[in-house]
Amino acid sequence: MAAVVLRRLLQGLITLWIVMTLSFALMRVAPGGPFDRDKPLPPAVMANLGRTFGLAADVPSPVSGTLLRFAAKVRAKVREGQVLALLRAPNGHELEVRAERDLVLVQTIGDPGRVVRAGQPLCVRETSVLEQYVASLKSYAHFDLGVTYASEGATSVMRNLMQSFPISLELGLCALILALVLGVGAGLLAGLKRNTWIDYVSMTTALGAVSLSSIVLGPLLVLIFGVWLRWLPWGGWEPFSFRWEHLQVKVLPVVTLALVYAAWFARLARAGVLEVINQDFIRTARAKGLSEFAVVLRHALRGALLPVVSFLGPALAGIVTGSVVVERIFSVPGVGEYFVTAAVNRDYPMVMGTVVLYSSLLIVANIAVDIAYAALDPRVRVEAA
Amino acid sequence: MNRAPSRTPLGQALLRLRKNRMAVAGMCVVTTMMTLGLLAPVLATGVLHFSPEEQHTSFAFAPPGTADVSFDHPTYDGDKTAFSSVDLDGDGRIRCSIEPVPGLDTDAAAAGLLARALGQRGAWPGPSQVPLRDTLALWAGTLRCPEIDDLHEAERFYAFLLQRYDVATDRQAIRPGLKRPDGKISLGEFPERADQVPDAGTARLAVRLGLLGQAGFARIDLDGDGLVSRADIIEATRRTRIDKEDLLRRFDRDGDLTIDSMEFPGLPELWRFWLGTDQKGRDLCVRLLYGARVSLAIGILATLVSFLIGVSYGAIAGYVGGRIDSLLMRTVDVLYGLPFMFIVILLLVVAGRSTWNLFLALGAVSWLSMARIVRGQVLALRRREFVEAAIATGMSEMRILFRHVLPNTMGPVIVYATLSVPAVILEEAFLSFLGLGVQPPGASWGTLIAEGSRMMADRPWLVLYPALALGVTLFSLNFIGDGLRDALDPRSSR
Repeated sequence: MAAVVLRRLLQGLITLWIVMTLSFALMRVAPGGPFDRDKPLPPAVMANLGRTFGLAADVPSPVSGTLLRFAAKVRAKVREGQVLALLRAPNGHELEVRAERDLVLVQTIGDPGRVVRAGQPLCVRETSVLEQYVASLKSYAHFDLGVTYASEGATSVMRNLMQSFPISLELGLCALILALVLGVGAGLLAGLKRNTWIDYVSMTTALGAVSLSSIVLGPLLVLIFGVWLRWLPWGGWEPFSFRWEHLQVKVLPVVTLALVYAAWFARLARAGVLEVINQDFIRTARAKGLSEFAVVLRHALRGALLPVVSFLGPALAGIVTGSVVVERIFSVPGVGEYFVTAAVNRDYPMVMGTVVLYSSLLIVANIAVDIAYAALDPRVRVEAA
Repeated sequence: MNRAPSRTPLGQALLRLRKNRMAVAGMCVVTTMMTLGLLAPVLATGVLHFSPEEQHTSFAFAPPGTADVSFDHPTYDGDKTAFSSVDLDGDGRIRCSIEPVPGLDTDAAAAGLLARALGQRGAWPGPSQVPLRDTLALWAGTLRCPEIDDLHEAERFYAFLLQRYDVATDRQAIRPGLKRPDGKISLGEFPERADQVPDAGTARLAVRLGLLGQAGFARIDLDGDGLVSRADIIEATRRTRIDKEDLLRRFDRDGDLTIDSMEFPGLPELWRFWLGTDQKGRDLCVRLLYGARVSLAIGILATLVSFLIGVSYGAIAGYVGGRIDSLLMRTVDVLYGLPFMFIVILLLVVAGRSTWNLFLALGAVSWLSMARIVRGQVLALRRREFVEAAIATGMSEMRILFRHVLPNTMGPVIVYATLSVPAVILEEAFLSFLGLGVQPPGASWGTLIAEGSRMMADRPWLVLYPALALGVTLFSLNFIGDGLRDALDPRSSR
């Protein structure tokens, strides 16, 4: 069991790495960036912006001395070994500082006459793509998702996410729980009361809901329950609490998000129940004299849950993506809204941060689902071991 | 001897499909939607009379059923008696002239004319009687029809009416400071003198055209109930909304730039916005038709792309087997773990938002399941006797794969492809909803729902109809997919 978990974790890490690499590569290829202005920026501003976004780095001076002049110009390509600047050492010798690598100069720091100590920045260069890649992987490993372009470096991606993610999480979790309760309940009932009106009604409803999505369901639910019947308010979000005036605004978004997956769960749970209901162990349980209630709860439910749990992974992915739409329809200030605005405005650090957040969420959830599945089904457990 | 006709497996499947009522209903709906989408331009011109980009700014957010004159595809009611209401000076003809641009360079204009004539088919200049100079001037100068121009001016006055003079409810007495508009104007509210019209230009015009006082009121209150409603004004302003260029182009048969009472085609007809209009006053019904085009086309095309990639990928993996197979399928496994919608969004952000990129991105990511299904089928088939027989006859590998193995995998593949059409349509709607898919002025159902969902409370029709169209189509496609699955594999039906 531990080996399985370990292997899945490793797989998850690889997937996450691929996601990060892919998004990094895509963002590098893409046009636009923090330097996209109508007018060219002064070198000092460029250097500062570059440092903020990890696009520029200082070139330290290898020796101490007084700066005589720079040999290279700003924005010029400097080959490895070419002279960068001339310094006069304290002992009066004139020294040539040469580039240790090919680089593009962003800013030259200070005028001739400046006293530079060894290790102090002499000038600023552009970082290479590889450096940026390694640096971004490193910072992601430290849960540092960088700063947003939109705020000109004032707000970090993490801060935006910390603000909005709890809301999205609440929405998603509520929807998942509702979908599970509703779906498994309806499926169980439909399976046990097979070919009765309960079965037909719940399965027809489920068939309908499965073909739709939050895009269609959301507006329709708002029109029916918000606009025409005026039962529920919609739009916005309230802080977490159990008071009705805080809860009522959350009903429609949660139901919209949950309904489609409740329908899937109902169909799967019904099929699962039908599979086990005629099997020997159920008959044995009945023969033992267990009450019908106990038979259902102890034995049939497990059969109903198996296919549901195996579908939890895709369902979670769907709920996460669906929540982006639902947040937009109901103007919920969650991650989805940030994601969409960032995507439209090409705020790459924000987009990448959101993608990585959602990906890791899905990966972790998938692993949890696999483990739950193994725990529920003895056959899987044996196979894995 | 009476023999039951023997049927091929395919024929039996089709028969089973035909017996499935839901699937047949679904097919009818989808066929209708596709026909409507295909015929969208024709329907827009000939039946609805609006074009998708035609903006009726004064009719923004008009509820379903409101009517207006179409200016992209105007029609005329043929009522010659209305001629006098357009022929303001009463000389029996509507004269137009072309006012050339001062200092017109005829040679340059002629060159421009030639260029335009080559690039633009069936446009003005019409009959040859129009002197060359006038023809040129029409391109370079402005067409003036004093009477029609005056009527266009009058429209400003009518626009004022509803905004300024609707202060009281019905025939109630008007008290100072009272402002309870009810969308109707009584005679008491109607301006009598020019100084009651706030805009001086409009006031002069109203006096000149006799639009004020009792006489003016009678001209608008066509049904004579003593109240002018918005519908009355729309009806009355029909004559103010004649498109002079369209009129001359289509009805000036003798080409003398004058419309006489014989040539006069009547007033422009009103056409209904059956499903209302959006914030720019565009007809929702026409936009829905064009949206059907985009949504269905993307659904089908992207499925075709995923079909091509998925089938060849899966077939190669399954048929070649061994290390290549496990390499190919591990790649699919890894890709499967990615949160795909987010990758698509990243792709769209990077590659630029366009319909073409959207369809490529959707096609490129939805082939994974297809590849898995095909591989499984191919694996099961390649050890069968008929493949061995084919090998024994010395067929090439490719030929065996494409002639013998692949056709036998088509059943589940077709079912999966059918079910992936609604999935792709949904994904397209999702992306367009977020503003990353189809870009304005183009519209798919997703963009229409997104626009409508911003004002659900006040303008429910803007979100209701697109959502219904999308919902019904998704339903139907899913029913067809389910029906196909049951028909092709009778064991799977419950």
